[in-house]
Amino acid sequence: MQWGFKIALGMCLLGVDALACSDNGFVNYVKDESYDFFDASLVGLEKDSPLYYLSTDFFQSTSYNDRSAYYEEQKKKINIAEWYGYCNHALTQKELEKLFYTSYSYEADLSAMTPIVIYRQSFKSRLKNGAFEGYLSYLSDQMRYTYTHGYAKTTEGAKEFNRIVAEGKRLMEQTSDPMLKLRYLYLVVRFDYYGGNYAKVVEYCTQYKNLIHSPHPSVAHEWIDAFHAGALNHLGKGVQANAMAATLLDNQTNPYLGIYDFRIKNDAQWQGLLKSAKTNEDKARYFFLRAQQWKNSPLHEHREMATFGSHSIWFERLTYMVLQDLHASYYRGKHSPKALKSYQLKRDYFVQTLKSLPNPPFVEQYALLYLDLLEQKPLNAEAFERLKHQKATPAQQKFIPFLTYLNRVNGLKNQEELPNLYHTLFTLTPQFSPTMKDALIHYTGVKVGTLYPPKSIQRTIFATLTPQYDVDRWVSVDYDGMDPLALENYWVKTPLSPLEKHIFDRYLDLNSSARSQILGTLFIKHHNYPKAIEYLQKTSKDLLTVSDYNPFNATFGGYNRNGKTVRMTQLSYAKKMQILYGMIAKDPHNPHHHFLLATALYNQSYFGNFSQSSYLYRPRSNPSLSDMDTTGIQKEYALASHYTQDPELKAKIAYGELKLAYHKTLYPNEVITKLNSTTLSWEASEKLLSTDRVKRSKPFAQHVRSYKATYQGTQYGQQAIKACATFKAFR
Amino acid sequence: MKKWRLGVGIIVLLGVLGAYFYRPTPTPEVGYYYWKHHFFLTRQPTTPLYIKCLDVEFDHNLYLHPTVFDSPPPPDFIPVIYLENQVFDHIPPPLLAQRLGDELRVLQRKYGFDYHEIQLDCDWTMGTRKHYFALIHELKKQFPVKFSATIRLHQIADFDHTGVPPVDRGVLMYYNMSDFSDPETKNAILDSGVAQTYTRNFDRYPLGLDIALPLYSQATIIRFGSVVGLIEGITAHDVTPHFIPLGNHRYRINATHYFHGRLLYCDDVVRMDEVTPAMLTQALEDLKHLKGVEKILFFRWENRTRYGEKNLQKLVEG
Repeated sequence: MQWGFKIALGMCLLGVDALACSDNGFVNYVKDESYDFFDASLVGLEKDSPLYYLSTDFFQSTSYNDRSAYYEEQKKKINIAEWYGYCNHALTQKELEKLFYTSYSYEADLSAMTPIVIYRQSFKSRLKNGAFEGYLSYLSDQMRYTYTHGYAKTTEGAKEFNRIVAEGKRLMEQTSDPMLKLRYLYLVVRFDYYGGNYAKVVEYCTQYKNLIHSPHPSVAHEWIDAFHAGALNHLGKGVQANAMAATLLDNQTNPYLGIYDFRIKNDAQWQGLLKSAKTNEDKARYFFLRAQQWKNSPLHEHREMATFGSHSIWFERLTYMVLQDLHASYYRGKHSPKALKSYQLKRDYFVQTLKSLPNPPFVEQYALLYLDLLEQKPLNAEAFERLKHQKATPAQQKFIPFLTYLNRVNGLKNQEELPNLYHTLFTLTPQFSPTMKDALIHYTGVKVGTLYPPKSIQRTIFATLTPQYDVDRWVSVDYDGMDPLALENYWVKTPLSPLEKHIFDRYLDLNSSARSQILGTLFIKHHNYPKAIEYLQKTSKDLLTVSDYNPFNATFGGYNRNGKTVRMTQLSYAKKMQILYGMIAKDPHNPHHHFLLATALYNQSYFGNFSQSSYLYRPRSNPSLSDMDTTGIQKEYALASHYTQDPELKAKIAYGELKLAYHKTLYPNEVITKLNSTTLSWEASEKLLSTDRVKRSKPFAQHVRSYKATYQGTQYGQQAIKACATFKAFR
Repeated sequence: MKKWRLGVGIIVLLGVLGAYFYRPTPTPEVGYYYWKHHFFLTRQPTTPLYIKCLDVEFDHNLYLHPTVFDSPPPPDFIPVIYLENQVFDHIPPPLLAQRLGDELRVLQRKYGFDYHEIQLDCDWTMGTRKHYFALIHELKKQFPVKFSATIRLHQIADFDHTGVPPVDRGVLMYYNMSDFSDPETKNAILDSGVAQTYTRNFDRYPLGLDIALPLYSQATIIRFGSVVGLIEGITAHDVTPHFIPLGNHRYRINATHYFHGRLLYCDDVVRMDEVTPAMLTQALEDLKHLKGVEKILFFRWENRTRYGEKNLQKLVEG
C-alpha cells in the first residue's frame, strides 16, 4: 500500500484538495464569556422559572419551548393534585397520572378503548364516585376526537361533533359539583375552539363568567380563559382579546400564553387597550406585554413605563429582562465593534431611564450596580449602601452579597485571598438557581486562573470553565499542550483546592485510570517511555489507544496510514520503544536502529500513523507550532544516514526526509498561527489549507528533483519515483 | 486596376457571406419567480415561469413546507426548492434527497403537474458545499430532468473555492449583494458599486447563466446602531409625515407608531431599499458582457405590475 502516499501527495501537488478535504475537521469557534447570573427569584418567581428568562435566547423558539415545557409540567402537577384532592386520595397521584396522561393516538381505531376507559375500569372498585366516573366517560368520548393541539377533523369526528358538544353541555348543567361543572365547561369550550366555533366559545365564556371567575373551584378556569382570549382574537376583537391575554400572566399553569397571545397590530388597537386600563398597573402590564414582542423595543417600552409605573411589578420584570439582554449584548460586543457600539447605545439609554427615576426600587438600583460589575468597574460604594437599605424581599436580599462577591472576584489580586473566597463562594451558591450557581463557579474559576502563571496547569484547568452560550457546558482541557511532569506533579503530589476539586468532580469526571492514560499519552509524546509505561500499566485496557498500522513501518503512503492492519496498544508500543532505545544504547552506530527510531517517532507525531499514541485530541486540519517540531526525527534520520553506506537505506532515509519537507511546506509557521486563530472564518481556513503553496514552492521542487537525481539508480528510489505522484508533478 | 477590382470583389463577397450567415443575438426570454406559500393565479396573459414549491429548513427538526396550490400551476413551469444551509449540518444528503423526492412526488400527484426542470435555491457555503452538491447528485438519480441552481455573485467570483454545483445551468441572482444587517449598507437589494467588486471570473465560469433581477423593495429598521428588522414591499411612496428625510434614502421616525403592522419608535432610522427601473437598466448594462444568457428573470411575480410588464420587456430588449 505505497499508493496511499503517492496518491495523497500527488493529489496535493496536482491541485486536488484530497488531503485538505479529508482532514476537514477544523471547527472554528470563539469561546464566549457570557456568565448567566440571572435567577428569577430576583423578580418573585421560582429560581428556575423560564417565564422572564432571556439571556440565552437568541432564537425565539428556544424561549417558547423552555417556557411551554416548564409550564406543561406545572400544569400536570397542579392538575393531578387537584384530582387527588377531589377523589379524596382514593387513587394515588401516580394512578391519576396514568389515568389522565397516558398518551393516546387520535388516529387510533375509534371503537378502541381509550386509556381513560381502561384505567377507569381497573380503578373502579376504589372510585365509588358516579359523578367522577361519568366525567371520565365523557372525557374519554371526547378524547377520541381530539389530540394535543387540535380537534381531529375526521369524517367520524365531524359527524359526532354536535352530539359531543350537546352531551358536554347537558352534563355541565346537570352536575351540581362546581369543580366538575367547570371541567365540563372546559371540555366543551376546548372542543368548540378546536372545531373553529369561536363565537360559541365567547358565548359560553360570557354565559358562565360567574362560574369561571368566582372563587375558582378548579384550575381549569385558567385554560378556559386562554381559549377565550384566542377566540376573541379569531373574531377580530383585538382590544378584548389582548386584555384577556394580559390576565393570563397571573396564571399558575399558562402565564406564558399571555406573552404569545398578546398581539397589537395598529395604533387604534393599542390606544383602545390603554383606554380600557383601569389602573396604572394594568397599563404597565400592557406595556410589559408589548415589550415581550422582542422585535419591538423593550428599552423604549421600559422608558415609557418609567414615566407612570416605575413601582409596578411589570416595570421590575422588564428591567430584569432588559438587563439580561444587555448582559448578552455586552459579551457579543467583545467580538464585534459594531455589536459593542450597539451595546453602548442601549446601555446608555437604559441607564438614563433608571437614573431618571425619583425613587428607584431595589431591582432598578441593583441593575445599575450589576452593569458596572459586568463592565469590570468597581462597585459604587455609595449606591451599594443605598441598595442595602432599600426595601427588598428575602429572595432579593441574597443578591446583595452576590454583588459584593462579584466585586471581590473582579478585584482579585493574589492567591492568598483564595481560601476565603472559596468559603464565600460555596456559602453563596446554594442560594441560587443551578444555572447561576454554575455561572458563579465558572466566573470565579476563570478569574482565579489568571493568578497562576501563563501555561501553568492551574491556569489551563481554570480557563476551561469559560462557558459557551449553551448552559449545559462542555468542559474539556487541552492536556495535549501540557508538560507531563508538571501535570504529574499537579495531580499526584499537590492537594487540590475546593474549587479545583469541584471542577474535577462536577465536570471533568476523571477517575485514576483516565488520569493514568492522560499521563501515559503525554509521556509518549515527550519520549519518556519508562514513565509512559508506568502510567499505562495503571490504565484500564479499554482506555488504551490502539494503532491501525504498524508504527515501526514506513511506506510510500501519505502519513504511513496504509499497509497491513497492525493492532498495537500504547502500552505495547511504549515497551517496544524502550527496547529500541536499549538496542541503540548498546549499538549506537547501527543505522537500521536509528532509521527504525526515526520512523516510529514520525508515526507517533501529528503526521504519523499512530498519532493517537501521543495525542489525546488531534485536530485534523490545524497542527500547532509544537507539532511541527521534527528535530528528533531529523536527528535520527541524520544518524542513520551518517552510519550507513548502503544506497538503498540512504534512499529510504531521504524519502522520509522528503515527507517532512512536504509537511513543512504545507504548514509554514505563519499559516499555522493563522489557522489556530480563534477569529478565523471557515472560508479563510479553507484558503489557508490550499495545497497551492506546495505546488509553488521552489525549495520543495528542488528537493524533489534532487531526490530523483540522486536515488533513481537505487531500487527503492525507482519504486518511490514510480509510486509517488509528487515526482510526476515536478517533472 | 485588376487588383482593385479583385479587392472590391472580395469585400462584396465577404459582405454577402456575412449577411447570409449573420444571426442576431436572440433576445432573452423574460420570466418571473412566484415565491409565496400559497399559489393562486387568475387567468392572465403572462404566467410565472419559476414557482417555489418547497421550503426546506431545519429548526430542531427537518421541516419541508410545500406550497399550497389554490389554483392550478401554469403548464411548463419550473419548480424551485429553497434550502437553508442548516439543513446540511443535520440531514445526510441521501436521506434529504429521499425526503425531497417524496415530497415533490406528493405535490406532483396532488396537483397533477409535470416539469422538465428542477431548480435548487441555496446560498451554500464552503461548509455546506460538499453536502449540497451531493444532494444534487442524489436528486439527479431520482429525477431524469434538467437541473438548475441559483448562483450568487461571490460564488462566481470565487468559484475556485466555492465550487460549481453539478447542474445543467445556473441563474445568477443579481441582488441581495450587500449585507442587509449592516446599518451602513447603501442599498441591500441592488448596488451596482458593490456588484462591481464581485464581478469577475464570468468568462471562466463553467456553467451557462441566466440572470435574475429584483422587483421588490423593503424598509430596513435601524435601532441602537443595529438593523432590527424589515418591512417588505415598502417604498418611499409609502412614507407618512412621521418619516423625516435624512438623505441617502434614509428617514428618522419622529413619533412612536405602528406602520404596516410593525411598531416603529421615535428616533428609529428607516432605510428604504428599493429598485428603480434605472437601477435595473444599469444592472443589465453591468452584465452585458455575460454571454449566452437565455432568460432574464424577475423576482417577484406580484410586483411586476408596479414596473409594468411591457416596460420590463423593453428593458430586456435593450
